Amino acid sequence: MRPEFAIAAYGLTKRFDNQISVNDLDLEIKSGEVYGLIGANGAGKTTLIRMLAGVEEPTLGEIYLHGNLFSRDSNNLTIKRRIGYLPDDYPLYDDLTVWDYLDYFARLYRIPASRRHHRIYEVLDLIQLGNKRKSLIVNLSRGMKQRLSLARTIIHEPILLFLDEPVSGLDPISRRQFRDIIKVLQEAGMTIVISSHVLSDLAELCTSVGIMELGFLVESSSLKDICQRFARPQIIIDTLGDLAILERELKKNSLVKEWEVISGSNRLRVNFAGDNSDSAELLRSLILAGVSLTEFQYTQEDLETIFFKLGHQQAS
Amino acid sequence: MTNQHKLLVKATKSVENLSELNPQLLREIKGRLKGINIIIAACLSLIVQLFIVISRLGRLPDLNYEIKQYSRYCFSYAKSRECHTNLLGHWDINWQLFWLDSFIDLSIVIIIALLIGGVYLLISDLIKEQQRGTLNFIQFSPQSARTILTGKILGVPVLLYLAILLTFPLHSVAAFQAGIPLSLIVGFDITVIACCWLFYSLALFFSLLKTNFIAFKPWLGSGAVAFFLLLTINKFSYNYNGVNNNILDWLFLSNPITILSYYINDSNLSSFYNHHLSVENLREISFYGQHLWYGSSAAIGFILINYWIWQHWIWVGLKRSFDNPNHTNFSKSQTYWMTGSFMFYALGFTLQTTKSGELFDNFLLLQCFLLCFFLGLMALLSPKYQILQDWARYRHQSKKSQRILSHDLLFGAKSPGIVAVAINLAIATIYTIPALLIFDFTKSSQRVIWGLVLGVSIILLYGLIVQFILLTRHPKRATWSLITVLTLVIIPPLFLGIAGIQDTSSAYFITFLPTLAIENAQFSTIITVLLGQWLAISLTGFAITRQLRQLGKSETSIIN
Repeated sequence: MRPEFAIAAYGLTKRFDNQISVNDLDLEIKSGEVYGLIGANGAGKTTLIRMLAGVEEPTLGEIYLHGNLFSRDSNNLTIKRRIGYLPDDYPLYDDLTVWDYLDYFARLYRIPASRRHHRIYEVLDLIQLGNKRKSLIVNLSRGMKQRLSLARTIIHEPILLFLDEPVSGLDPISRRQFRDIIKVLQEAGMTIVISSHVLSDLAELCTSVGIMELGFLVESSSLKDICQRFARPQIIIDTLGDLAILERELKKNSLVKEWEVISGSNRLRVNFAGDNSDSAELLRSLILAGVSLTEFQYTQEDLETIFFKLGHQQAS
Repeated sequence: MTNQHKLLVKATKSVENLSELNPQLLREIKGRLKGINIIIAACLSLIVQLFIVISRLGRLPDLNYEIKQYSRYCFSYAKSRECHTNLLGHWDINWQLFWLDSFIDLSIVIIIALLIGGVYLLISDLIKEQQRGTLNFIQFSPQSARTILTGKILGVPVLLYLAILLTFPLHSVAAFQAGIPLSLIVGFDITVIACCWLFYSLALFFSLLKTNFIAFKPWLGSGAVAFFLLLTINKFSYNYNGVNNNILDWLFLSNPITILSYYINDSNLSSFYNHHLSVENLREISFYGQHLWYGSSAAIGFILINYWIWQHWIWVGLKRSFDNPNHTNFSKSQTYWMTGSFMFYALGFTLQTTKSGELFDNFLLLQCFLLCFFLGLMALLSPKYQILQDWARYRHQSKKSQRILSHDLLFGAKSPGIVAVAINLAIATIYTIPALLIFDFTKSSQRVIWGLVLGVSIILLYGLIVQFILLTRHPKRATWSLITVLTLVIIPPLFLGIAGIQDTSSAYFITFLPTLAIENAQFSTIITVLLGQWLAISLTGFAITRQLRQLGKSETSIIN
């Protein structure tokens, strides 16, 4: 097995009764990547993460972590120490304080006494809960609990991190804090697999993306590659004037394929076959035609649109 | 630095060292040892101790009355226990007996509290961890199952231990005043600790079993222990014939209260206990003809060995269940050795007599124990439906060793357990047959062997029926298999009993004790019944094979 892959899985299948949750899936993730898993509910993301983290046993297939065959039965302590897993329901011990909770897991992971104290402070600083270290967990807010769970996941300095819907149910501020923490972890060199429904977050965090649909890994590649291959250029145009005039002018340009009016506004999303300089040409022609513009933005389809396209193709 | 301060630093360091060895223990202690909890535990302990002493003091003669009084604690030559005063005008009290009674009361309360309370706390704690989802994190840490679960055993009932620790002064005073030798007190304490270890391990094992009635488990577990204690304490404390000289003695010897009989014997107060808690009863117990319970040291030693063997097997299952909850609780090869251990003990207690009639009854009781053991074994060896389905479907794609069907059925972790059950039954039969040939049965030994074979076959048939139901698609298949097997075990003898059919009638061939019907049966009838059983076994086996083939067929994937 090629050890350059932090995570490699081949022929991974998981059945629950007669339902196939993950179907003959191959996956290779390089060290230091942040790999985002996208998919609708029931696409198999959670099952895949649970299998990779060793929580669930695959029905078929093999998983290699840094070149070592990994299974729940392997009982390989070195591998166990390398993994951090955060489930979507982040269970905690309400009867412990934040400090005692982290101290407990630090001891479970055999962090030497000489380093333990420092490490707990380090992690508390990272998740910004230093001032809450003496608080009982039961008294923390949802966002704090979520961050504390992440702290528990990374207390032993794993090099592989599996995060299942880590920002679900969090408010925008907590989500932002969470994103920032993950960026720090990425900079520290961790390989992170993260599943989320918040695709804008993933687009910001991930270096690679896997799109899952109906148990299949429909696409798995670097974010850049996926965007290059699947994201079409588009132009967002907003006008103060008559929409009909704008539409008439757009029809004249051969690179404009189609457009849609963004509901309730004078905004158009235009599918454009040209490049950046072609879009500048279009902008000039619109101005010369006297169309009063408030916005003209040349961009590409976002991750969400790509996901809908690819997922839908596979489902069909 | 003052001495007190030094001591405090030393104590903190010890706790720190201990927690380095077992972080789980520290977590449990931190979560539980809180001011209010400690006060409640201490108060409860003191109240119970006070109640025991007051209830015993209440049986002393009243100092304010000079009328004729009777008390268990008055020195008297008459059996009436009439109280007399000494030359100083004080009641002549047998204080040694008073303290011995108090010691026994306290010992029984300690055992009851430790076993019932501890089992309840441990099961409910582990269930809570499972329901909350935190158990997974602990299981994934690099700590071993033994470290984590030992931490649980030592830490979860920590308040109970504190309460029991507070009884130590009264317990010790009572023991010394009663004249019990220090060696016996230490022996008793070790036995109680070993017994707790066994029951607590069993409680954790029970918690990790996959069942539907999770919320009910703590009550069921502690209820079962309460029932066991009620049965055994009652038997040893108040029954005139405490010993049965059969396999039931094995159960009664598992209660550390047994040791109390030796105290009474050593304190020369045995006449005050009439026949109950009499060591004479214990001395009659034999194991493969050896009277191992004659002296207190040997008795304690053999009770400890018994505990050790069974805690070993429980920990084998515990470790396996903790490390991978998807596995069966024991591997097939482990059960072969476990059945060997069970048979070694079961037969040892069965062959306590040479009287043929009693021996036959003991043998029937052994068959009842075999049935219970094997019903449990079937449950422990049955993989989950999903595992069986995957095994049937993907076995051909698995490792080379797993593709050899016979090897997989005998040793594989994911194959159906029924072949292993059959092998275990064969082990039990082979181990028992020589004893049946050597010992003198009223009915000829050959017939008793046929009885054993028929009994074992019917257990195998039950096992196949259970396996068959477990392979159906019914959502409540586990419940149905339990109901079916209980119906098969209970209904036929119940019906025959109600109908007034004599237990030697051939009708008893359809019960789990066909040996009963052996005596009057023709040899041809025995052979016919055996052939009938094997026909049923073959047909059920065939049906199971068909079911497995069906499961193994690929279906259109329904994606969740």
